[in-house]
Amino acid sequence: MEVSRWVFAKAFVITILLLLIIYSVNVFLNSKREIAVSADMDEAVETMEEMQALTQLMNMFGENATCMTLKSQLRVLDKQTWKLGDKIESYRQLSQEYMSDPYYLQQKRKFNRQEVLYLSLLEQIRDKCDLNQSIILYFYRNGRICTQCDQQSFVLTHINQKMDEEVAVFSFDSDLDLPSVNVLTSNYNITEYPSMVIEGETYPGLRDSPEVERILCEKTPYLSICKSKP
Amino acid sequence: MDIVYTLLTLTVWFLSTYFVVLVLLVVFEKRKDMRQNRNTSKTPFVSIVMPAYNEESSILPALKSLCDIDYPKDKYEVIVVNDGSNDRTCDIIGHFISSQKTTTFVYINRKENKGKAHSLNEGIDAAQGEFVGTMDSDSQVKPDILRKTVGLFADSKVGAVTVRVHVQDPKNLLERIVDLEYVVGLSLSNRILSYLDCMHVTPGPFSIYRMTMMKEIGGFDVRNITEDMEIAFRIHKARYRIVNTLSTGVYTKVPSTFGALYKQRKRWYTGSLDTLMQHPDVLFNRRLGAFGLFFLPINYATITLGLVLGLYSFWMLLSTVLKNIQYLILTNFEILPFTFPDIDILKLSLFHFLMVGSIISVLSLTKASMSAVQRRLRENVLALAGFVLFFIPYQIFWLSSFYSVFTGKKVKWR
Repeated sequence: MEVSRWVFAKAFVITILLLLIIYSVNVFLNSKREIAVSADMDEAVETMEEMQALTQLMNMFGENATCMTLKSQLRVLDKQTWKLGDKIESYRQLSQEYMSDPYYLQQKRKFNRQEVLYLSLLEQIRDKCDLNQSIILYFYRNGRICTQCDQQSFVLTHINQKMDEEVAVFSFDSDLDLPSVNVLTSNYNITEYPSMVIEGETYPGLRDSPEVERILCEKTPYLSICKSKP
Repeated sequence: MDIVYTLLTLTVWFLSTYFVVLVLLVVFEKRKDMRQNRNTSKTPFVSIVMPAYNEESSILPALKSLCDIDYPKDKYEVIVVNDGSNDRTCDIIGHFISSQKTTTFVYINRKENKGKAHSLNEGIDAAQGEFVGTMDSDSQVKPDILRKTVGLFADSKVGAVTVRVHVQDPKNLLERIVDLEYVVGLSLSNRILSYLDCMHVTPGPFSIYRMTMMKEIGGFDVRNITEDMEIAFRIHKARYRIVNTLSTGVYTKVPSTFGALYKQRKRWYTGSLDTLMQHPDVLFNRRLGAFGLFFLPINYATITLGLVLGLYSFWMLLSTVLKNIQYLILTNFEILPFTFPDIDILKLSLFHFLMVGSIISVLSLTKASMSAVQRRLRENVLALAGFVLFFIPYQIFWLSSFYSVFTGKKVKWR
């Protein structure tokens, strides 16, 4: 051989170093992801607390004084929640298997609790502030157990993007076994997954987009998409 | 991503990157020596064997290039073996040889087609040289081919010398991509493997062998369809070295269509697997040094795991496409106005970094290869892009070859 045998060992060490550099960049980005999720969570919690305070004030000073502010805060919270949910899910997929997955599960639990709070606030505001917004509760489980949950999530994402502020979709992960989510599942008699609750009525099984729109129009005919339908 | 896919990706990445790093380290260590040649004043007698089968369109330039070799005319002979051609090859050879006065030609005209390895052996049996060169009849050697190779046999352990393989006049994009592939795979890589004593092939377009060694190992294996690779394994087993020089070379034609490339590669890769199955004792063989302990295990592991990874990725891509079709059905094919997704650098995953790392590896290897043969990468940007994407057809070629080997399907030369 015309080169030193050490060249094999040198190449091995350099390749290990390159792999370590890539792994370190990924670890660094993961810590940044956790910081970003925590910051978004704090922002959403802050908006939620603001809305809770406004709801208390509504009881003291009446709807006229607070509804406008509540509606605008609601829009902010809706966007924040949507962004946060997407971030937790996409970052968790990147980190799964080889990174600190427990962090994202913890954030997901926190996120689901915030959604329960958001839902109860929205129910109160909707009645008192005459808000034309439809509510969909979506109950799902892990994709390995619930084979159609990914498809239902896609349909609801599509509906949410299409109808924007006119519909509020709340997704609850039943695998997290949160007491508050369990109350919702037993109250709405959720026995199979995926399941949806549209305006208080339970719809088990996968529903496609035209069917969800049909149910929405049946329940809340004031939605803009219903006006174009015969 | 599931854990199996992640581990598979990391393993393939590690093995392929390790090879690139090794090549670059050797390039750095041998940067002054890379294009040096060991000229010698000695002019031993050399025989060049050229088998031909239905080569009427390309044999004439091949014969002419042999006459133009800058070497004493009484010190080399050309043995042309017509392997039962049924076109005008026989007539062309006959006319050409009869018009030649200076170069010594021996013509073996066989009516029956017996295959390339058989023809080479027949030519070697008739050869008088101390060294015997073998050449494809669609190739053209450089005039200094003998002067720059015979000197390398000064080391008695050198059994074969290989040269740079140039692509002859690449025109279309495919030929230019293959040209780049030859620069990387049959120029720099072979030079580096030569330094590491890991040459696994003595390329068919032109290689030259020590005659005593050739007799010792019994010539080419007539059952193997990649006889130039199989013989390299036996050269290693006989404890001879195969060395490479970039200071001279041979021009050869490459497939100009994808179908022709598929046929060629299927033969190469099937032959490569057959050769390994024929010589399983080479793997992890300490006697064979780096060739048995390092090169062959890493090479075949990267190929096999790379193929599994490719199939796995294809399956994942296919299931994603099917899933998206299903989603479109569920939303009644309603396409919402397109909105640009937020650019979020934090969505970059380990796989993105590994992919960037692999692209940098390929580019570095290509750059080093182009520098080694004094060519400029900038002139081949389009071919370079195609070369980077060429891992997809490679997977198809390898898959088809694995299938042929495991189902026992015979792959023919043509």
